[in-house]
Formats: sequence, structure tokens, C-alpha cells
Amino acid sequence: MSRRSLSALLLFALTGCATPARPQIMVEVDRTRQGAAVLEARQSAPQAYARAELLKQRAEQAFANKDLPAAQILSEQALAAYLRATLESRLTKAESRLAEALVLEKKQAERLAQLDIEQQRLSAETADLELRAKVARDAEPLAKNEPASPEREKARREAARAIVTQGSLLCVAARLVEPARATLQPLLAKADELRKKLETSAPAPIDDATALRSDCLRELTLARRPRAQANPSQGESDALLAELGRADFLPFRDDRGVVVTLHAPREGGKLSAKAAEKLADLGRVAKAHPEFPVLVVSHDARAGAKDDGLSGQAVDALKAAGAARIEARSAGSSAPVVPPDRTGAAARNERLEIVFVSPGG
Amino acid sequence: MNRRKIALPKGAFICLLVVAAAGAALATPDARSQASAILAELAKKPDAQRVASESIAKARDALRRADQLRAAGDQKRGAMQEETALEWATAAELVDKTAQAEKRLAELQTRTTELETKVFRAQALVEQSVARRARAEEAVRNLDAKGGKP
Repeated sequence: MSRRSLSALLLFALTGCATPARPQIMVEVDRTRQGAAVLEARQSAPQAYARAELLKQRAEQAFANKDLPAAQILSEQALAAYLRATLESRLTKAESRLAEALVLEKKQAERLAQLDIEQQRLSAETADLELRAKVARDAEPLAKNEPASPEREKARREAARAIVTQGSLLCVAARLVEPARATLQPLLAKADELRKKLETSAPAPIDDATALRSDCLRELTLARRPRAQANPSQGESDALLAELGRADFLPFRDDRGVVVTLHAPREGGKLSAKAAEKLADLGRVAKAHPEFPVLVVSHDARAGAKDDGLSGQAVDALKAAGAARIEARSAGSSAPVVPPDRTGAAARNERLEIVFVSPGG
Repeated sequence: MNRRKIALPKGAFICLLVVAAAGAALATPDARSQASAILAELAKKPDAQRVASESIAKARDALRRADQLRAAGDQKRGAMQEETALEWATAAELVDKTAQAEKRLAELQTRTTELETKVFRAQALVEQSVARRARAEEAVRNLDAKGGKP
């Protein structure tokens, strides 16, 4: 045998016995196995990790046995199995955090509900205290008004008329809240007496008018107190205010309760169709909130105008829509919104006030 | 005659083997059927198609290679490739499931953060109200002391 043939034989034998090159997929498996995600999965998804390891071992065994195709297929299975292990780890973590977040969400929703109740209770209590402070402040003795110049006396008379109207409306509101309240009748009689006095040329009884308003506000506060104390967190006036606001009635609050004003209520001396329509809507609101008695107040722009029955018509419209506890009052021209001599004053001063009297502060 | 005697038990044995194999196949679906079923289920979900596209593609590729091997008569490696397809299909299913859970978690975390803000604001409002109430109480106390109790 020649030297060349011997060399060729030796080379062939060496090549045949050498370990084949490691396939790319096995290198990829090795790299994946060292990744942070797989290392984490080893802890959090041990079963899935063990399965991937087993597949890898089988691939290594096939490679050692020189079964390259089987080693490649098993390596691909191991690669997918490592991916599954990392995914199971992620899923376990996400589900655990999801459970924690659900508990946290529930806790926070409960806390928010508690805070809302607390806030409502505090608001109601604060409103009651502020009103009590206002009543107490009003009850403090005032400096007596001395006789004044004719112009000043005229202004004082107008002011006294408005204050008497306010006072008597507060007393009527108190009567609606507590119909059997005995102290109200003398106060309402006093209001009538002051109105008569204001028709005469005697000095304007401004101090008596102020005292009357203060007394009526106190009576209203006292009439409301049992309900307010029984349920201090009840935000019923707030809820009604919000409901009327959503219905575009532009409501506001004053000492009496929640007020809706209807402008231009008259049409040919009668209740206008538009006002009647709105009153029907308000009547339905009153029916849905029977705890709120309703006070209807008609205001006239004409000086010295007498009650033309408008408030009575408004009461009928409200009753037809289902409102039950209603009382009507005509304020005449005693409580204008703007001075009557201003341009366009009549349109603003002539109005109907629908007062949902707050029953509990 | 002897030949006939031997042939009968042999036939019965083959029959039994076929029945047993069919029974086993019915009891647990093979890797190919399982992988195909999972891929068919994922095909109905557009989101899964998007998030698990890579694993789905690998599962389909493994099935294709299994077909080629079986067609070439290599049943053993064909079955191994079907196992690979099942491995990838299961991984794809898990990718979809994990993505859904992580999405739910992200949504819940957003909601929780919003709630946290609301709770914080409500807490501040309550503290303001407590202070306002205290001021009102003080005012009433002072006025009561002066004798103007309503």
C-alpha cells in the first residue's frame, strides 16, 4: 500500500470517529437555558422546567448516540418546553398580582364609599351648625334704627317690606315642615300686622321686620332639627338639587330649601303654557320626593299689585302632576330681584318660585 | 393442518392488537390531533393570532415536516415532529392566556390607580369638612355663650 493510500485511509478513519458538530438548535437551547426568564421559571414553574430539562437530556442522549435528526427534533421540543416554562412563570405571577389587585380594588372601593358617607354626614352636620350660627347671629340685639331723611325712610320701607316677606315665607316653610308647630301662628299674625303698618305713613318697622325674619328662621331650624338629628348623613337636598340641575331647571338653594324660578309665568293674565309644562315636570319631581313639601311663591312686577290667582293656578298644575303637600303665597312686588325702575326689570321681577322645602336641614 | 392451527392464533393476535391500538387512539388523542385542535381554536381568536404568531408558525411548520417524514416512510421521526408541533401549539395557547391575564392586570392596575386618586381626594375633602365643622361648632359655642342660643 502506498504512503498516499495509507494517509487517505487514516484521514477517513479519523473523520468517521470524530464527534459531529453541535447543531445550531442545541446551541440555541443552551443559550435559552441560561436566560434570566428560564432561571426564574426554574423557581416559579418547577414542573414545566423539569419537563424541558428532560427533553434537553433526551436530545443530548440522541446527540451522543450520533442520532443527529432526533437530537435536533428533541432540542426543538426542549426549546418550546423552556418557552412554556417561562410563560407559566409569567402567568402564575400575573394571576397572583391580579388577585392582589382585585383585593386592593375592593378595599379602596369600600374606603371610598366610607369616605363618601363620612363626607355627607359632615356636610349635613356643618350645614346645620352654620345655620344655627346664622340664627344665633340674627338673634343678637341690633342697634335700634333712628328716624331718617324722607329718601332714606323710603328705602327703609322697601327693605322692611322685603324682609317681612322673607320672614313670612320662612314661617310658612316651617309650617310645611311641622304643620302643628304652635309658635308659628303668632309670628304669621305679626307679619300681617307689619304689612298693614307698612301701608301707613308711620315710620318703617325695620327692626321689627328683622326680628320677625330671625324668629321665623329659628322656627324653621327647630322644625327641621328632629329629622336632621335622626339622620345627619342624609344628603337629600343635595340629591334633589343635582336632579333638578340635570333636568335644566337651574335650581339654587336658600334658607327655605331648593328653589326653581320660572320667569314670564303669565300669558294674558293666566298661567302660560310653557310655565304649565314646567310645573307639570316639577309636580312629577315633587311626587317622586314626597318628603319635600312645596311652597309656591308668585312675584308681580307691578307695584301694589294684588294676588291675581297665579299661585293658585300653579298649585293646581303641580297637584295635577301628583304633588301632594303644597302651599301658595303671593309676594306681590315686595321682593324684586332688581330695582323696578331699571330697564327690563319687569321681565326679571315677574316670576314664580317653586320651593322644595328642605325637611331636614 | 398444522399450518392452519398456527395461523388461527396469529390472526387473532393481530386482530387484538389492532383493536387495542384503535382503543388507545380513541382514548387519548394523538399529538397531531391535539396540536391541530389547539391551532384551530387559536385561529378563531384574532388577538391570539397576533400575540402568538411565532409559536403558531413553528407549530404549523413542525406539522408540515411531520407530513413530509411520514410520506417518506419515516414514521418514528414523523411522530416526533408531531410531538414538537404539539409543544409549540401548547406554548402558543399559553402565550395567548398569559397576554390576556397581563392585559387584565394592566386594566385593573389603571382602575386601582384611579381609585387611589379618588380616595386621596375624598380623604382631603373629609379633612376640610372636619375643619369647617370645627369652625362652625366654635362659632355656635361663642354665640351660645353670648346668649343667642336658637
